[in-house]
Amino acid sequence: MAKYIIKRLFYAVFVLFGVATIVFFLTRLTGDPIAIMLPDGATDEQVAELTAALGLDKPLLEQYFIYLSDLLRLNFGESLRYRSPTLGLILERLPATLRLAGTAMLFALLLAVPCGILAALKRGTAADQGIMALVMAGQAMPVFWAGILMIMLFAVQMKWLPTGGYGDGGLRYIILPAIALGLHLMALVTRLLRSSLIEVMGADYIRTAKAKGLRAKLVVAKHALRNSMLPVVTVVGLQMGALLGGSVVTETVFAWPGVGQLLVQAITYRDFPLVQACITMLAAVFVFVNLAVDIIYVFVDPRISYS
Amino acid sequence: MKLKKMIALLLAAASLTAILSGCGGNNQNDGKVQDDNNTGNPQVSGPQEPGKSQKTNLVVAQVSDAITMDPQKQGTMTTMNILINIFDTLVTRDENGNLAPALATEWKAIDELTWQFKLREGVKFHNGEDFNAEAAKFSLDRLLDPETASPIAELKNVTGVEVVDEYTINVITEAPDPIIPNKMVLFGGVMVPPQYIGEHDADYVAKNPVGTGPFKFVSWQKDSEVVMEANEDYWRGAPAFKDLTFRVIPNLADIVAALKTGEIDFVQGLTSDLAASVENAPGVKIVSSDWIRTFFISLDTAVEPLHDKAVRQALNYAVDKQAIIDNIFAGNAKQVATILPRETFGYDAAIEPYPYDPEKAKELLADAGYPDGFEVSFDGVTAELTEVQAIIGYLEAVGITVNLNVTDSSTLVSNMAAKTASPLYYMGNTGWTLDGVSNFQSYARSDRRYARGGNDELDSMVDIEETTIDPAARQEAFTRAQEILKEEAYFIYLWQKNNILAMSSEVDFIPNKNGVLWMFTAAPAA
Repeated sequence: MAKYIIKRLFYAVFVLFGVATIVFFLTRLTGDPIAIMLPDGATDEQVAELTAALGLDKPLLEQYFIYLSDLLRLNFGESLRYRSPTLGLILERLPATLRLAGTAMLFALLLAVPCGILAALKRGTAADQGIMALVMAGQAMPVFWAGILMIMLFAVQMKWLPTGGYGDGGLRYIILPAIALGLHLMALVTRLLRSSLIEVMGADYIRTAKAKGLRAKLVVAKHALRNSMLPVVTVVGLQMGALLGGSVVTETVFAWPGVGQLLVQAITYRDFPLVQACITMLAAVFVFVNLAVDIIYVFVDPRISYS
Repeated sequence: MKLKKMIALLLAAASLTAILSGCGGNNQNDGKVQDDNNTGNPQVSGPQEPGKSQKTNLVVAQVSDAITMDPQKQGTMTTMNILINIFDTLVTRDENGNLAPALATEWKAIDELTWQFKLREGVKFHNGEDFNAEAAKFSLDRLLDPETASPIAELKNVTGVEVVDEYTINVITEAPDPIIPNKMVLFGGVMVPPQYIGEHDADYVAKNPVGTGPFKFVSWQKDSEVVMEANEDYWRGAPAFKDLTFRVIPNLADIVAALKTGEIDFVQGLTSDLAASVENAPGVKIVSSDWIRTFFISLDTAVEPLHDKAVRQALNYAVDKQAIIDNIFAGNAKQVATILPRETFGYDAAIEPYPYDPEKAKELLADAGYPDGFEVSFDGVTAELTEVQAIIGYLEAVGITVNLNVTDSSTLVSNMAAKTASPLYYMGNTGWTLDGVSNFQSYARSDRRYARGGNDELDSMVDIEETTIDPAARQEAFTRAQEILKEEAYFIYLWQKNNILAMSSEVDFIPNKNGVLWMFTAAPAA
């Protein structure tokens, strides 16, 4: 197990190196931060001065090697716009993003598991069709669209919840963004669980369990559900990354002060080091969540081992 | 095995609890503010109290946050909108847009290279420190110090500051600079406390601002909100509102939604269509205020057929500016003859905009050898697509084939700087000093960053207005420059747009002409 983890960590370094490299060159294709930072009236000398001060006058490859050697020392560079270390800017906002993604995940699972079971067990009935219709809608609607609709309905019309923002950090501020962000995952898990459960329910060992007179509830809970959860765990793990990605849009729609909003602004202002740092950090989180999921398999499915 | 599973489950449960309970209390200050909002807003249109509103708190929304609380280490509009409420500058503008005293009471050029400022006596910073000539010198020196790496570029011409007496300073410039007082209105003239900055490290100063302004800093939750309270000892008198909050809402449509629910009280810079969507909402009013941002289409005079003056003039005749103003901006804009707005020093009302005359446009094109028009590409940004498409409609009506290239504004600005923008692009420009020098700075003199045309006479007019102190001589140069700009048609000159404000009907406020949100002048609606 330990050997496996070390091997995976070793790979992770390569993945992150690749991400860092791609981001570095991609951002530089997108434009010139100096022209955006300086006012219309700035003189050419000021442009040259600021370009030199920010190290953007050096050849691209030199900039790249400086960036890489800094990265090796875990120095993520300084934001051009904020003029402070990118790592600090990100860490300040990471808790809000993790909280949003976590709550979205919780919402998705709390709703998806009962819905998926119900739809599978009542297959073909009105309940199943109703749930599946909702699920289809949830999966088809992009986050920003669902978000704006919810703001219009629950905040502007009904006035139940605020339109957005972090406020005092209370629950009422996170409800709408978490639902908007979790909607897609909820739909995905419901469908997956439904089909997986339907398949398992047709398996021989379930027939055996039923045949030996076990109560239906017990058959589902003890035998069917546990086995049908395996694909769900896989997907939930992989979707963690999607949640982080989705938070970029959700945070902008709901004025949620997290890394997503920081990233969107960094892109708008062509704040290269900040874009690089945000993406590399999000990639790192993604890589490590995947690793964690693989480790959790061992506990969920006794057939899997890495030794 | 069972045990392992239990542990895994427990861990999962524990992490979820942590997530829900908010991952640590990094926002203790915000609870209070939110309570204020909640008690403040339901009072909207309380019928039992006709007349003056009882509102004490004011919430302003902006699409992005301050980048720092150190006024000398930023150059962004959203940051200045926040910090102008905490800090004062040496000079300000009155409601008519004229220069007016602030921390400086009077100023004059004592020779070509020296501007003298008399300072206000008896002013204190929020921490009790005195404002005096030493503080003013410290502030300007700090701004110019390369160590500060200030993005504020206006005072680059200043070489030093001399203390004359306790309340007088001389500002020395390298070359004659006629608009040093205008520049002191902006953050070039922001005054910071020397002792306070000496005692704390840069990081602390960047998070805990202390100024002389009408509001005192309370808290800052990044990308969420900045909270301030009234400075009861402000030298102009206490502001009308007790609490002032700047909230970040990245999307204008969401800002409008928050305005409808009463979560925010004020926003500026709305588009005409968004303004129309809240026009009839209860408790909301729309105010259209004159503003100084002018819009134009830059023409690349190096490419065929735009090198031909007649063709450029034809383009100016082709666009029905007034129709676009009436129909797309709902009247919230005014035609301009060149790139100068009416409010700016140097503007000459005698120079009139090109009239709409498509027949004349076709004639000029035919005479220039393009009876069937020509093909050209045009950069426009997503946010301004409606007006860009209307303009293109008019160009196509006189026979020009336009290939529209839609981009975001950052990309367009980058391309402009790299000289890779299309032969035509639609752009706005704001001269914050309210002096034509700012509008001409990058666009008029032929060797400047965004200039794509120009001639020797225009260059020499720019030189005169940039380096002459005498206002009459400068006005003469500005007038001649506008005549040349119009005749040579280096741009398609369009309009200056109004600033459209939406606010709670309980609030009265008109922003300063230079566009910053100085909320001292905001008051409960009478």
